[in-house]
Amino acid sequence: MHADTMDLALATPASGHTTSIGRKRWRAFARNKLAVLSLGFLVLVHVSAVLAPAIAPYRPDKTAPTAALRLPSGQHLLGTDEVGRDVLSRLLYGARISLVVGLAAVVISVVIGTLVGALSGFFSRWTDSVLMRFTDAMMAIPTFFLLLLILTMFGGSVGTIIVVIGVTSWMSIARLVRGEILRFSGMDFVTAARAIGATKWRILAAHVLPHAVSTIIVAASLGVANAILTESALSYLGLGVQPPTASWGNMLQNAQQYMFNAPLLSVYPGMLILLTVLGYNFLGDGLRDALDPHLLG
Amino acid sequence: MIVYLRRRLWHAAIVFALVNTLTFALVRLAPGLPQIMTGDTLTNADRMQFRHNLGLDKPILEQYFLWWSHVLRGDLGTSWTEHTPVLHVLLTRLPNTLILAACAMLISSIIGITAGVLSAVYLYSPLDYAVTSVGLFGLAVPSFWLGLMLILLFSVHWQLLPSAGMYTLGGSAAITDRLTHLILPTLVLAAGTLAQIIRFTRSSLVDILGEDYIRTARAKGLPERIVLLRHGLRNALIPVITVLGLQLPRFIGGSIIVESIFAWPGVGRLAYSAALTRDYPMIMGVTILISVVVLGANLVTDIAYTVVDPRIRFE
Repeated sequence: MHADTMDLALATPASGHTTSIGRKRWRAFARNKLAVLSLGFLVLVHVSAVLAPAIAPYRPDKTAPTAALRLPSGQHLLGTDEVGRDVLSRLLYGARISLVVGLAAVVISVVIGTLVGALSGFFSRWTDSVLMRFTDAMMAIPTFFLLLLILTMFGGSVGTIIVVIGVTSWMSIARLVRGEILRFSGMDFVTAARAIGATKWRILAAHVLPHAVSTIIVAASLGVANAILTESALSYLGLGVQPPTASWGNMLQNAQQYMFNAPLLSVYPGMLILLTVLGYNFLGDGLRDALDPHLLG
Repeated sequence: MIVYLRRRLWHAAIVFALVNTLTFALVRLAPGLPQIMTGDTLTNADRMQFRHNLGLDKPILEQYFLWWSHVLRGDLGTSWTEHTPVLHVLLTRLPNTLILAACAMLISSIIGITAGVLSAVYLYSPLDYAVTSVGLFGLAVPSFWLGLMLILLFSVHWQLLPSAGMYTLGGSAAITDRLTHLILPTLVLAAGTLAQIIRFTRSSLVDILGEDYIRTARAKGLPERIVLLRHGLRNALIPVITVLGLQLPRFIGGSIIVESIFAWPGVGRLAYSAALTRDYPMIMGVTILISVVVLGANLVTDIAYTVVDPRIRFE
C-alpha cells in the first residue's frame, strides 16, 4: 500500500492535486492535435465498418458487367471496379476485414508478448533464458518468410491470417516489455516493495508492469498498423484475404492492373490503408504523451 | 566476456537447431504436394517413383535425421526446380540481397537518427511535426504501393531511374549503372525502417531529456551540444540499437516484396518461389541461410548492448 501511494505521489506533483489524473491525461492527449484528429478519423472508420451492412449502398459482391470501371457519379459515389462492383460498398466491407485482421492480430500479439516479456524480465535467469531463446528463435525466422511459408502450405482464411500474423508479431513487444521490466525492477521502489513483504507476483503486477504499459500501448497501436500493412503485403503476393471477399489489401492488389486507365481504383484503398495506419501511429503518440507521468504537467 | 560469448554462441546453436526443426516439420507436415509432383501428365506410378527418388517415402524422422547429417557435412541438397546445388544458388543470390539491405540500413540509420534527434530537441515545433509526419508516411505506406508509385513517377513519367534488375541488360554494368538501379529498391526497403528509427530515437531522447541528470548537466553550465550528444543521445541510442538489430529480419522479409517489385535477383525472391513450388531443399536452404545471418546479427546487437550500457547485466 505504502509503495502504491508513493507511486501516485510521484506521478502527481504537489500542486496538481485538484485535477484528476484522467483529466490531465486527456489534456496531455489533446495537446497533440494530430492524435485527436486521428482518434476522430479512426472512430469514423470503425463505426462505418461496423455499420457497413446498413449504410453500404450496394452489396459488396454484386457485379454489373455493363457498368464496369465507371467514374464516380450520383449512382456510384466512388465509381465501380472492373466487374461493376460498387467501390464505396466494397471499401466499407473491406474495412471490416482489414480492421478485424489488424485488431485481432494485435490482441493475440500483445497478450503473448506481454506475458513472455514480463515473465522473462522478472523471474529467474532460467525462465529468462528459456523464454528469450524461444523469442530469439521466433525472431530468427523473418516473420514475413514464416507467414509466406505457412500461408503457401496451408492456404489462408481470414482466421488463419489473423492467428498467423498474431503469433508471428509478438516478439518485439516481448523484448520491449522485458527491457522495461529489467529497467524498473532494479529501482528503489521495487526494493522498497520487497522490503515490506510484497510477493513477487504483486510486485510484478502492481509496481513493475504498470511502467511498461505506455510502451505496450504504443507498440500495440503500431501493431494494428503493421498487421493491416502485412495483410496488404500478403495480398500483393496473392496470399492475403482471398477475393471475392473484399479487404483493402486485395482491392489495392486488384487495382494494380488498371493503374493506367482507372487510377482512382488504387487511390481509394491505398489512401484508406495509409490514413488508418497513420491514424494508429498518431494515436499511439498521443497515448504515449497522455500515459507518461514525466510529461503530465 | 569470453564466457558470455561462449554462452551466447551455444544459445545461438540451439536456436538454429530449433528454427530449422520447426521449419522442417512445418514444410513436411503440410498438406499438398511439391510442384514437381503435381503435373497433369504424371500418373500415380510416376508420383510414387518421385517420392521414392526424393526419399519422401521414408519415415519422417528418418528423413529428418538424414537431412541433418547432410547439412552438417555441408550438403544442402539439390534444388528440385533449378536442378543446381542449393548452396550454389544461395551463394550467388546472397550478395545481391546483402547489398540492398546494407544500403537500406545505412540510409535509414543516418537519416533516421539525425531526424529523430532534431524532432526530440524541437519537440512539438513545426519541424517536429514535419519530421514525424514524413517518417510516419514511410511507416504507413504499403511498401508495394510505394514501390509501384516510385516506378510510375521516376521510371515511367520522368524516365530518370530504371525500374527493374541490378544493371542494364547488355550494358556495361558500370558502377554508376548499378548505383542507379539500387536507388529505388533501397528507398522502398528503407522506408519502414527509417520511420521506425526516427520514432524510437525521438521517443527515447524525449524520455532521457526529462531525466534529472540532464537538468544537472545543464545546471552545471555545459553547452547544450554536449548535454544533448554526450548525456542525452548516448543513453537514448540504447533502445535504438535494439531496434536496429531487429531490422535485419525485417529487411529479409521486406526483400521478398521489394525484390518481387524490382525483379531483383536476391534471396527474397528465391524464398518466395521456393515456397510457391514447395522446393523442399531450397526452402530449408533459405531457412538455414536466413537464420545464420539473423542469429549473427542478434549476437552483435546483444554485445553492442552490453558495451553501451554497463547497467545491463552480463548473463
